[in-house]
Order: sequence, then C-alpha cells, then structure tokens
Amino acid sequence: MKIHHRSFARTASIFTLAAVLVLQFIPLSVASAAQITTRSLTLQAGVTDAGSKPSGVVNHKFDFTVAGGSVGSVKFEYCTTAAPVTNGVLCDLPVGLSTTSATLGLETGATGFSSINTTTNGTVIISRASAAAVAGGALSYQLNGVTNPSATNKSFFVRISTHTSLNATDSTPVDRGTVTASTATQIVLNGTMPESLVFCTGATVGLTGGVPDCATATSGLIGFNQLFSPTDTATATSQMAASTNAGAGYVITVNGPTLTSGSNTVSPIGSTAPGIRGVSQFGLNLKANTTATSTVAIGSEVAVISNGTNYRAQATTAYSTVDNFKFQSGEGVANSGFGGLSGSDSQIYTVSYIVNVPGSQPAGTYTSTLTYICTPTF
Amino acid sequence: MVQFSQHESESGMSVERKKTSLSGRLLLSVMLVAATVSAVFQAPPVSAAQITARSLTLQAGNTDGGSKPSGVVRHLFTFTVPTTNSIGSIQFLYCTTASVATCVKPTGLSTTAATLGSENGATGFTMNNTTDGAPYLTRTAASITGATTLTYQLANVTNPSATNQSFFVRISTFASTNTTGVAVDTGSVTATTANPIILTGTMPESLIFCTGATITAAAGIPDCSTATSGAISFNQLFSPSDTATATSQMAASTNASTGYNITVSGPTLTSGSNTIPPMAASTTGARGTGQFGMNLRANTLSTSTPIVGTDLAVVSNGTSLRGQATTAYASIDNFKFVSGDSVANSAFNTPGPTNSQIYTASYIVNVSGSQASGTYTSTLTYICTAAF
Repeated sequence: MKIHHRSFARTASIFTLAAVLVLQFIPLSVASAAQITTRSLTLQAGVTDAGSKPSGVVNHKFDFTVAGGSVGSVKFEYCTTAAPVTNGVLCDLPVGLSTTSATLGLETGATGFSSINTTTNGTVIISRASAAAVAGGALSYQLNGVTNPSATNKSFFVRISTHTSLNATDSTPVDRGTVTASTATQIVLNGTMPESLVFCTGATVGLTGGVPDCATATSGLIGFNQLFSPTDTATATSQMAASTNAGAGYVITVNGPTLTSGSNTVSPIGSTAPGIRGVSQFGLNLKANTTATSTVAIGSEVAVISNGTNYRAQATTAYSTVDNFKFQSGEGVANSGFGGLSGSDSQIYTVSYIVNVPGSQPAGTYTSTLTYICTPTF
Repeated sequence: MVQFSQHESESGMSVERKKTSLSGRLLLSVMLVAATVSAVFQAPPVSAAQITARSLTLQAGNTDGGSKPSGVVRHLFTFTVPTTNSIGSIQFLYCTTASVATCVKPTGLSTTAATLGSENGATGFTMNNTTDGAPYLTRTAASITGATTLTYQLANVTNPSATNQSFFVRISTFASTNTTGVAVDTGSVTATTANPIILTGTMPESLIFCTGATITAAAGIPDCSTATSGAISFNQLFSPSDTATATSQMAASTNASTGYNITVSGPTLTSGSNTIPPMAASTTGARGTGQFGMNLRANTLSTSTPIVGTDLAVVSNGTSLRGQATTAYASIDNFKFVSGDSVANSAFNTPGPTNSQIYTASYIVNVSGSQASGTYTSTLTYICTAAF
C-alpha cells in the first residue's frame, strides 16, 4: 500500500509538472475582440444633399481609435439597432439606406485601403493588399455616396470591426465598436424680401450702429450759415440716405425753384462751375469742398465710401466735382451706379449749397423748397 | 323565402339592366356636365407672370414736389409686360407693405381724385378711381405685345402723409375690364416720401464800398479785399511847367433801392500854411496856375504826360451796373475839387441798386511859379451813402 501510494503520488506529480510545461507552450486564444474607442460617425454633406437629410446621398465619416493589431480589412455594418458586440443579434438594414454605390473617400491613421466591397447593401468592407500592423491610434475613413435611411429623425447604427483577413471573414475581429447617427428633418425657412426702397432727407441723417437711420432724419428747414453778401459765400448743407434692392438701382433727382424772395431770385448755376463771389449764384454739389469755395470748408463725401458691390452711391457727373456747383431742377444728382447701376446698401449723401450774390441783390429773405425724389427700377 | 318565376326573374334582370343603364347614363351625363362646367370655368393660369423693368417715379404736381408728404402730385408708372396678352384693365393697388396677402392703404394716400395723365405703350385707357387706394385703368380688352414698355401717369394723387416713408404699389394687369379674375401679370414698385428741403437765407441791406490806391477785380468782380493802401504820391514834383498827377480807386455796390451816392471830403493840398487852390468849378488844367482838382474819367494828353485816369469799369448798363460820375467830375480833362461834393452815384439811367464797379479818381496839381516849396498833403475821405 505504501509503495502504491508513493507511485501514485509520483505519477500525479509528473503529470502535473508535464501539464504545466505543456500549457506554457500552448497559446491562449482571444475570447473576444477589443472595444474600439473614441468612435463617431459624422454625417457630411454630399454633392447636393445635407448630411442628415433622409434619403440624402451623403458622406459618412467614421473616426475611431484602435488598440493596435494586424488589420487587413475594416467592416462597416449598418443596422437599425446597436446590437451587443458579442451576442450575435441579427442586423436589420435601415429602410432606405443604401451603400451599394459607396466609395472610399479620405483615409487616415491606417491607409492603403484600396479596395471597397459594397456588394451587400448595408455592409461596406474596405481592405488592403495585405494585412499590416496598425499602431494604436486614431483612424478615420470616409464613405462617400451613401444613401441615408429614409425615415426622418431616425437613429441608425453602424458596427465597425477591424479584421486581420482581407475580407472581414474572421470569426473574431481584432477590434470592434458601434456608432450611431440620426437623420433629421430639414429645417426649411422661408422669408420674403419685397421690393425695397429706403430713402430720406433732412438737415441731417444719423447713424444707428454704423448704418444710416432714416428715423433720425431731422427737419428739412435749413438756414444758410450767414447773411448773403457780395464779398463772401453763404453755405448750407442737407443730407439724404438711400438704399434699394432694385436690380437697376436708384436715381435721385432734385426738384424745385431757385432761391426766391418775392420777385427777386438768386440765379441758379446753369452749368457746373466754381463759386464766384459778387456774382448771383445758387448751386449745389455732393462733395467735400475746400476753402476755395467758402471760408469754412463745406460738405462731405458720400459715406460709407462706395465699393462697387454693396455700396454703389455716387453723385452724377454734374454734381461730383469738388468746388464746382450746379442747380437745375429735375436733374439727377445721384444714383447707385458706382460700378454699374444696381442695388445698394444705405449711404449718406451730404448736399452742399452755396449762394453768392452781387452787390445789387435786393434785400430780403430768400427761400427755396427742394424736393428730392428717389426712383428705383426693379 | 322569395321565389321568382322565370318571367319574373327575366323581368327583374331587365329592370336591373335598365337600372344599370340608367345609372351609367346618369354618371355619363354628370361627367359630361362636369366637363362642360369645367371647360366654361376653366381656371386661368394659377400664378401671374412678373412684370419687369418696373418703377414708380414721383413727379411734381401743380404746386407740390413729387415726394412731398401729403403732396398732390403725379405718379408715373413704367413697366414691361413679359408676354403677349389681352389686357382690359390695369390696377394700381397702394399698400403699406409689399405683402401679397393683405393690403393696408397708406395713411393719407388718396387716389379718388386721380386722373390719367399720360399713357404710352398701350393706350385707350380711362381712369376708374372709385376705390381709394386701388385705382385702375380700363378699356375694351386688347392685346399688348410682350416686352412692351408701358407708362401711365396718374395725376392728382395725394401722397401718404408720413415723412420719409416707403409705400408700395402692386401693379396688376387683367383680361377683364374691371380687374376681376386672376391677374395676368403683376409686379410691385415702391417709392418714398421725403422731407422737403426748405432752404432759407437772408440777403440783408448791403453796401460794399472800398477805397485805396488800387483795387483788383477777381474773376471780373471788384474785390475790396485787394484794396491797397490809401497813401498816394503824385507822379512827379510839382512844377509850374507841368501837371503832376495821381490816382486812387474805389469800388461800390449796393442793393439799396435808390442806390448810392459818393462824396469826397477833405481839405485841399496843404503844406503848413500854404495851400494849392482847389478848382471850385469844373475846368481844364492850366499849367502855371495853382490848381488842385480831380475827376473820374480817362483823361488825355491834354492834361498830362502820361495820361491819367480810367473810365468806370465795368461799363454801366443801366440795370445791374449803374455807377457814374456826377456831372462836375464826369468831363474828360476837366477837374474840380469841392469838399463835400458828390463825385459819383448809382444813377446811370435811373437811381437804383448796382453791382460793384471800380472808379478811378484822377488828381491833378498845377502850381504857379511862386508856389511855396514844401510837402503838400491832403487827406481825402470818400463817403458812400446808400438809400434803401
């Protein structure tokens, strides 16, 4: 009995030792794939459709991070549910989704995926010539030409798995993970911009937030800066602001009589000319004039300066020369033709008026009511 | 249980057939009637076409500027119809917004007195202004060729009363003569009232007068700012055998209704207690005789070498230029000096206001052989008085 007992113990020990030794040389198989992390699916606009548009033909950009391993293919499997990775739940294809026309767009992190298999709708496999080690890190692949599911505001899921094989047939992927995205109702905003003309005149027109504000236009009652005199030029200014969306822009005319006091008048300047003291002259222009015209320089250039795109205001030729003036009722004094007649954002014109009189100009109070008319052509 | 004999059965089938036939005919009739009604009430195009190149120009009325708030003015509509259509009426619907759905008439706007001023492109219209804010032109429907530019001026329209306020007019053409039915073409235009700019300035009672050795004209206008000093020396030493001369200038203008009058005041040339006798009456210079005189003319060599003086510049015309020397000082080569005398006025043709002109005063001195030596001086004061 003692001998048998020892023999059994010896045999058991040897067997145990042998088993331990053998087990050291038998590799343990991986029971489950690792979870890819930092994963996302970004729906990107296609050629014509927005990224989350139901049934839109768009681009799907997958970003994820793997731990590493030898990868020959990556599979993207579109499903209606986010099935647990290991429980073998069937994948139902989202209604309307189509990947059969998908192509591989950008690839980063692990590249060389020159082949794309779209044979099975809902399953896209990208593969490369041979499996290669992928260092752990972020990968990114963009599938173009994917038709989104047709349901509105509906989530769908994509199971991503990396494989050593070149056709994603490995029973156990290297890494796997699920991402989700959702279609969304497109917000269609409608609004109407009508034919528009904003025009105002006054002694001054102010700005609100840097934009001419017709609500700030002051009265049109304007007095000259000094009594008329044969030895000096009396001046005054008014302002006007205009904007329109008319395709052919606007034209502003000035209308009215010259300065009049009873039967006496100050002669309008019939053609553009400088002011001359001692001569009967009433004229205007839309420029920043100099002291050549009056002791205190008068006027300002149009503000904001025109750029030929969204600002097109300009004085017409007859009223756009510094220190030269004219007044002819009915004549166009400004338009939105800088760079071509078109619509323009609001700008402020400053109209400068001058009066010179000869020594014999009868005393009296001289008045002129000027009407500016802005006509847009749509 | 109901039983039918064969006859009854056949009769019943016949009735059924008749019912079926009747139903079919009825259905067919209904369809035909529906089709006919549909044809009669064929809907016009569901949406009107857009008129193009459209504008509303506010034009002055008889007394009011075109964009004057509440002004009774003219509204000139210019537009182009896109396609050829038969048009019997054109409506101008005035609204506060360009909204198609609703139209609120701008406050103060009135079209009930509107008349058709002018018409071009398609003519023969008359005005219907019954509905305020929605006047329309009407005529027997006739074709208007596409791309034709049409213009219609509505006169006597009262502008909206708000200042610097946009308003909109929806132009619609109709096949009907009274704007019923669906519009053929439509398009909106907009315009805005604007603050009338009322410029006011005062021309005060004015007299511009200056004196000096010289006065220069700037751009043809005497400029008193160029007047030089009044310290003037004669051209040569006084001599019994020659006439010494000097000149000064003065410029004057006024808007006084009866013009101005210029006097000269001061003593004759004096040196201590010695004087040169003033010429009390207008006469010619005589060398060797004590004479101090003046005139306002362009004299000749009869008086001196070189000649002295210039006529009034610019020459008077009796309207805007009225300067003249008074009679005593207006004869060539004749001179006078009496302190307080009027030497000039703005009475050429008739006393009145005048623009500025430059007088040149010529002074002569002749002395006798016994004229005491010395420096002779006279300070003359010219006074210009305007009578308003």
